[in-house]
Amino acid sequence: MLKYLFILLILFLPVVILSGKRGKSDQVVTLARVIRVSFFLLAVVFLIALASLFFGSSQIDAFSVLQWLTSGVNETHAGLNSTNETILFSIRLPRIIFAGIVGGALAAAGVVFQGLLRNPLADPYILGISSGAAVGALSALLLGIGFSLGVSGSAFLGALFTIVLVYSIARTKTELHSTTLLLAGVIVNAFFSAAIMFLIATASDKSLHNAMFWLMGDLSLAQWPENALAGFFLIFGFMIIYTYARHLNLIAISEETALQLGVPVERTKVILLLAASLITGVAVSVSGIIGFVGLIVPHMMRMLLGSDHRLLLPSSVLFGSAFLMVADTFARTIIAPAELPVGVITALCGAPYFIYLLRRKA
Amino acid sequence: MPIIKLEQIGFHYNAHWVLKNVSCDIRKGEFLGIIGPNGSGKTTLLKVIDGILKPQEGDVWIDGISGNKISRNNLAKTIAVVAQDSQMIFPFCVHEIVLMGRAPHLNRWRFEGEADFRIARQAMEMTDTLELANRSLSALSGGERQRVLIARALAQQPQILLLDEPTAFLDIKHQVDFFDLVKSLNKNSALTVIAVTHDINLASLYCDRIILMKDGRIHCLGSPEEVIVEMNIKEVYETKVAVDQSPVTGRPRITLLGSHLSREETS
Repeated sequence: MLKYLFILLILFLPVVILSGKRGKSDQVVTLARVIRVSFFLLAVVFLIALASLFFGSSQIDAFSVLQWLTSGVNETHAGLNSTNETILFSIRLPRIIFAGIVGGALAAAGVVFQGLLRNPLADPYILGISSGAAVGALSALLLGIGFSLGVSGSAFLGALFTIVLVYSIARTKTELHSTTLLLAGVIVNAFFSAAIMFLIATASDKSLHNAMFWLMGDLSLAQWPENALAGFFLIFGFMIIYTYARHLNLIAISEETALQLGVPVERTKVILLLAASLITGVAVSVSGIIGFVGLIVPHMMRMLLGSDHRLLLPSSVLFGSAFLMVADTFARTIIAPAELPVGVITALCGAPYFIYLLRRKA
Repeated sequence: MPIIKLEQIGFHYNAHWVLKNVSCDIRKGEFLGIIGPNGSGKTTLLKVIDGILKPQEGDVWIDGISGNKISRNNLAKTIAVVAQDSQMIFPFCVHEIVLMGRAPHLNRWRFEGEADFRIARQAMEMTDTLELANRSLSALSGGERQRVLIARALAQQPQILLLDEPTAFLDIKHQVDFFDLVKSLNKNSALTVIAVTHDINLASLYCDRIILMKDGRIHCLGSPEEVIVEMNIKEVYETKVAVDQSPVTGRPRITLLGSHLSREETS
């Protein structure tokens, strides 16, 4: 019990520290400030990753974990048997890193969708983009495209198709209403969730993951290859997005303002949508549908650090990592020896948070 | 050479022509008003000048260069726009908003440098918004918000300032404060100002010249005394007004005549 309190404490420590600094001085974002905040949050991510190693359904005492950590991977480990080493290195560690990568990816996608659509309630899950990506990934599996890059590519196309679909449903000639957009997302989400169930029910292929995996999100399949794939695309997509961060600030105010200030709006939108869909698609193809991370995390960071995307993007990625690591630590241990899909935890936190945001806005 | 030359501009949405054969020269440093009824093409004309809309006919020349040959970015270094106040979704603070005016002068991945901070600071000083720097834009009053948008426009260091009904939601004090500020910038910094407004008396008071538009054409262009006459207003707005000279300002002044009053007069 104390362990859980401790890890929650580490997660909320940066929130307390960053909120204390707010408003005291000039809030304008500088490169130095971005680096400072990023390193601080990176340290938090490391602490949480480290702390998460101590959690698990098989009891490995804290002393052994520390010993393993300090001895280095290639040395022989006195006092730690090979089973425990396997558990730590091949099961826990890849899964923790995986949670970090997926959490960061979903948070980054959330920031981009919120900024582009000028809607603080946008999120890959709520807009149906995650479901679309899941349908894409499942279709690829059903068509016999077994290799992971093909599945991820198909998920990316599914995500891209969905955001374009939702956008064109919600958009009237001149305006894009916030509520219409969310409703369009809900409907598309419902349709694609049904499609996922249908595909899973009709598929005889045993290689399909179980239904839970796609519907509630699950990080238990994490292995080093998935980590490498998702990590590569997260970094790649993030780098593209980050070079457009200042343009995204202007588009987040209004597209006309952005145009007037010299931003090539259409091109920027297309590039950002492609990059955010890529990140979402890859995350979904390896971890299923994990909701609300892209909603909660950017919103908290915006409250703490302001709306400038040059600071909001890296801080959201890092805090998203920390957040999903903690959520998954709960998911895999709280009803041990059984496991919850991590999407259960994020939805249990995220849905009330969404309602709070909705009411506060009104 | 005129700073802006409009050459037989025609613009249409689908089959509907919003601008027809619009030609005029806009002089460097002048304060030009554009007035006209709803749907007469005022805002469209402003967007054509700013290059946001590309006219299907004719050409816009900015400082002797064809509008088609100027990149968006270079256009944003020359022309700044202050429009009606619109809702902002995300909580940016005033300093951030003003710094955004530096966007056309920066590379995509560059952070603002010392020079940019200095220019933004000057812009805030000129518009009396410096003490608002750390406040969120959404926490400000309408008049304050419009001053912040002027500061952002100044941070662009433009030669031309376009105003699209910037005082539509302001009370008379803030309308006058706003136009006083713009007029002083116009005089002291030789900023060319083009203002679309519904308020004919405001246009009369501040503008050197006025364009009166009707059905996508320039009905007439000239000094306030030439344009604001009963005949023109009646033809264009299809309503009866009385025009006289304000004894205080010496500028033409229009008085609206409700039909119930004019009936009493005639009976």
